[in-house]
Amino acid sequence: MTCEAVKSKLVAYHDYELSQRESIKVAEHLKSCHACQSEEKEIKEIIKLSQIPFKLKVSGEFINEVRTKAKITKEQTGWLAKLINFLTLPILRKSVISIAAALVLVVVGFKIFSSKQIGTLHPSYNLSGTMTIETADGNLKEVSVNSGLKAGTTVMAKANQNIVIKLSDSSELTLCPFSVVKFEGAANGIRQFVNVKNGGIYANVAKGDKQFLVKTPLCNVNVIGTEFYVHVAEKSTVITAIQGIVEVTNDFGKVQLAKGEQVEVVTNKAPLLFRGEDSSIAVIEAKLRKVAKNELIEKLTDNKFTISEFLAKFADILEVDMLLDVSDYTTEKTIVHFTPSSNTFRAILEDVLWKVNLNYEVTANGIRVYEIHKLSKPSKETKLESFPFEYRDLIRAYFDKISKHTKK
Amino acid sequence: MPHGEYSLKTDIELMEMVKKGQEEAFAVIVERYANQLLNFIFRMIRNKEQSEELSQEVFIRLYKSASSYSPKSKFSTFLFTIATNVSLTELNHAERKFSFRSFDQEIETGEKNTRLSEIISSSYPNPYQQCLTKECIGKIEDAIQGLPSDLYLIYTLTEDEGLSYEEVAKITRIPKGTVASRKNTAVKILREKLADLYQEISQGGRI
Repeated sequence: MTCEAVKSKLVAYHDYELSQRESIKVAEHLKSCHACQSEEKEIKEIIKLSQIPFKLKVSGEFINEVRTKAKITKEQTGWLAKLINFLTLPILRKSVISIAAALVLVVVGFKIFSSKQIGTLHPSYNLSGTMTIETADGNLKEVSVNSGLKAGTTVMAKANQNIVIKLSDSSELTLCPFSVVKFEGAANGIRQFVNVKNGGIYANVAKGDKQFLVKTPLCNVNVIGTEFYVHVAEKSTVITAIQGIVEVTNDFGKVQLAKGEQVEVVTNKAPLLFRGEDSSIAVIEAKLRKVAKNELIEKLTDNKFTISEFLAKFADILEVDMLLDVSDYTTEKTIVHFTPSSNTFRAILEDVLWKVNLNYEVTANGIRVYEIHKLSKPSKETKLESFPFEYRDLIRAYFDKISKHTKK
Repeated sequence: MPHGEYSLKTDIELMEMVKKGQEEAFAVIVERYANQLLNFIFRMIRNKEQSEELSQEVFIRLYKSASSYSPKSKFSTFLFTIATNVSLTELNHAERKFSFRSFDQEIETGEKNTRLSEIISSSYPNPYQQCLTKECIGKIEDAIQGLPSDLYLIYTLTEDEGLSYEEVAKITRIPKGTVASRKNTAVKILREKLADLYQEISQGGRI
């Protein structure tokens, strides 16, 4: 291990967060390297120095107050109260009661054919994995690959798990990590009724005569045949249209989205359309969510890449462009500066870089990566032709954007 | 069961009892974690009264969601997930009114307004800090104040609460690798800001 590599791992070493193999390597290096030793000492001391021990104590009445409040809560345990508690924050609770009531009416209004098989579900990667589902009668189960999906089932994606659901109308939905989605099946006049309770889903809806309805706590998404991404968070829901027309409605208004447009829906407000300066960013971010991160990391850690190969491979797997600035290339040491377009993008990138052991640091506007190995053939730029055909327009847009930035 | 016997139970056992409706078990959990939680929330919010209210809110939520707690995940992960959500929500609400956390801001302790360094310097147990002057503590405060909020959250969860990267990743719902790199960046920023102080102290033979 080089000094650079060791130094980048010292904090994790201090926190006992390295794998056994790595910590042995670091410890061995530390024995013989004075520079790294003193760096390790400094990190330790700085952390100790920065601990500010607050010694606040709760007031004497604290426990009794909590108990009283808990008792009051216990009395409100009707199923509607449970539903509202599940859906909302205390601050929003009052205003959401009316919406929740409306939601219940709508559900009752549909004639749902329970227990009918409506599709199959399997993880998009790591095919031996199991998936957590809640059946229509409320039982939690772990099911394996290619299980049948019955109407009324709730599917929950775990951390690092993307679940692909193939519905009987050949629509395909990808559940992103931490998402919770209930599949209600077909109903009167509706082809499929999907209830997204939390997290993100990437939907590729096949064309059909009847409407495909996606319900979220704050709005409904109606489509005929299209591609879009829905993200349900605690306080808001964001919908991104990837292809075709997507209609978003709630009690307060209605908005139609075209490719690359996004809406945000918050409690008690009509859906708000926002167009970013570059619609391709929204599309790319949505596509990023769809990719199973485990797959990405495994494919990238399989081989030793030079940075340019790494970038090309990364873009290839993600089916997406990455913002890259290769101006810092030198023959001595290769440096690439990523400027990810969003925090999600940055988080995923950081995760991958960490796992593939590249040296990097986070800068104000991106991530700087240092390559340890020298490049045999340093290529000055990544060729557009190396990206999948369908994304070249997006990539071109990105490159234009970068050059504008550089000019500024 | 007398109160004393409850206090011998593990968190997981207590949660199982709360699920079955045993309120005394819940009271023991509250007692066990109240101060730790208060201090955690105070680090984020910087207002004692408000932190106490929010700590109560966290326990109420814990109580309500006891039935969904599964012993598969550590109790502290469960508790700090709720606490982080509650604190961040509060911060988002206050965002427009205040900056994230200001050590310069007068801190309301309930009795009178005090500088943070006055609350803490009187009871510093850390041997490295005992010999520090108020001026030094001020510098440390400023350095920590300078951390961006996402780095600060990771820093306080790993250092002050002693949670593992895995747990922090679950709580904040960001990848473990990102936790590691944010922690790295946070320490890097602190090192840069505290370089002079470190030099001074280490040359003075205190470390």
